[in-house]
Amino acid sequence: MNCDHAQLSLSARMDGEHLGERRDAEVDAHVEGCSACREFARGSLRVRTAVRIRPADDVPDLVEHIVGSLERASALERSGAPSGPGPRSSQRAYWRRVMPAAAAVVVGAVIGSVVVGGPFRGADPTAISAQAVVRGVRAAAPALESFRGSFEIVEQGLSPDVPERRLEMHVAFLAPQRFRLEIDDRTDYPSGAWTPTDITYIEDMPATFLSGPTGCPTSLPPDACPPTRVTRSTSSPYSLAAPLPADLVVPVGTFGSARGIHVLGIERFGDRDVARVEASFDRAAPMFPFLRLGGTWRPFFGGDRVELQLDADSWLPVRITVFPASSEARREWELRFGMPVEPPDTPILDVRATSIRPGEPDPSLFEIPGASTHALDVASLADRIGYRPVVPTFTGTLDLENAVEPPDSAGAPSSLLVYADGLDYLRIGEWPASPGARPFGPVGSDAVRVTLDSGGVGFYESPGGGLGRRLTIFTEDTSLFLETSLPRDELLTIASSMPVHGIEAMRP
Amino acid sequence: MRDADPRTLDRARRGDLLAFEALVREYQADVYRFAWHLTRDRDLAADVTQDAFLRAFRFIHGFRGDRKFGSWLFSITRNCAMDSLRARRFPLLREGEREVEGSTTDATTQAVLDAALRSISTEHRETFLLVEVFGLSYLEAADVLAVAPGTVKSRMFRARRALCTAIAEDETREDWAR
Repeated sequence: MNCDHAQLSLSARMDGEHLGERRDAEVDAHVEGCSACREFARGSLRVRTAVRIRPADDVPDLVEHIVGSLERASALERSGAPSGPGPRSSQRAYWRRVMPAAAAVVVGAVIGSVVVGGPFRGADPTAISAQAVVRGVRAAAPALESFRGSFEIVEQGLSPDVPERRLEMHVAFLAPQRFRLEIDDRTDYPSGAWTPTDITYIEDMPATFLSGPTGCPTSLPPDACPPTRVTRSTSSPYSLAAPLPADLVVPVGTFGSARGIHVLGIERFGDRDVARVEASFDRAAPMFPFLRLGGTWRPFFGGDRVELQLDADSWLPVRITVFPASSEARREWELRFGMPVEPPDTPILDVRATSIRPGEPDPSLFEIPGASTHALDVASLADRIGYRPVVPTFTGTLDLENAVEPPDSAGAPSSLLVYADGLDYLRIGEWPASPGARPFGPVGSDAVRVTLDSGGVGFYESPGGGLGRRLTIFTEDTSLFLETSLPRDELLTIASSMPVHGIEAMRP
Repeated sequence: MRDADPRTLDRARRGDLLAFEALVREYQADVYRFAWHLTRDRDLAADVTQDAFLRAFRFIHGFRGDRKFGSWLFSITRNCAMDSLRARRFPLLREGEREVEGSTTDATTQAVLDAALRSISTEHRETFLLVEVFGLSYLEAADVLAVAPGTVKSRMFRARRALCTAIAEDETREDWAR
């Protein structure tokens, strides 16, 4: 054995390569009598020591930068920019294909775990950022084409006579922007004075239909609330402030931003990952559209704690639980409403997915009785209303689904354009005259003045009150109102592509 | 090098951006270090790291499970580094001198080691880094470098001999200077 062979073997042995007993013995024998090879072995060890004890490299945190680049690349693909067979398209196809099945599996696991008596089993929580959940939800929203699912609602503490209520809720969605929400009240009420909270709500944006009992304050005895015995049905061809049930499918409204969202972790649920997320009741309000549709519901404190369990693949909310806040303000609120003291660890509302059905819902489910507004194209609409509505030149992946002339009534815009992609939507209302008190206006006191890329200005408002993100633009001869489920930057990009120049001052 | 969680990897392969972000978090430090060692330029290393993950995201749907994700990612990083250096016409190791930082008692040794690393060939240095610094096996390093495992073995030996020689020469100079 010569020195080259011995040192080659020594080097390999240092790196964990097995030489075999015979080769080991030959190498050891050579090294024992060879000062050059002993020096090589010593030097190699010194190099290793120097390499391994070197000061920690100053490694910059590039994660947000990289993820931001990935998102921009994805957004470019979404906007139709030329690209190869990129990940976004496969991501959308994946969601469309997998979401119903994935959600069904999770729902099955939820049901199973409830039956055996324990919520989560398996691995420890894994760290995940609220921003990551927001990104996941954002990616899922436009990819969803249809949904049919059922939930069980268990409400505690409506009144001493009705301490617990059980209701079934059925939710259906069909792109573009058609929703149906039905609530079937299964509660055994103590007397006929109580009106079950049976509700049917249909939305075929922008038209809506609502049938159900009007509300009744829970502090009053049921027979003191005659209106609750009346079921009213109303159709509206353009209800822009209607509560979208979209968050029961994918919580796109609640997770429009990471503000106020606290992620508890990702946990194993059977063979699925489930993200556990916490927010205040006010912050998670879009998760409870049924509370705003009439009927009688117990009151909730704005700071009550909402725990959400979301399937980490499809972002379907599989469980939504409300716990009383433990704050002093909550105690004062209980006193003010004559409520009993409610312990913070006992749920007061539990909404649990019970089944997800495959396949698209029947389109007839979304037909609105009496709706008479006909969808038009923009040119036909312009002929009817006498002016051409302002349209954005860029809408990303959103397609124009509806161009309507709402009936002439207080608060109605003169024209309304509805764009959609999956669960994502954008509504553009326009008034060629000066703005007055509109359903969306005047602009709220918390509106923020923003400068658009086009040079003009607009007034931006955060989601709330059943509406998504809003942007109002006043020009010399018209007023525009944009309302959307899209993130703020995408809304501003679309607004910047509109051929108008927003002026500073709102006109009276 | 620890390999990626198979579930995360599977979700990332199916286009799940969230799962891919988890991979970015796990590997970005190693990818950046490797990129820095190849380019010796902090800004360039950051660019290479970003390019590597963008390329990985673009092609991960075609990533097969018959090799380690870390090896695959390092091979992409290496290609990005080479492309970047070629595009910018930077000579290798342009800014190596400034990397020795801090005030440890081993600063001199580190400086000598860095100088020695700069003195050996690119192929020997990248092989040495993959095996000695990043802990890849010969098989994994061979996968990254697209060479036979036997080539990794011989390159490691030659890299060590060159580094030992360089350090010994430096010590001899130091002794003469005293």
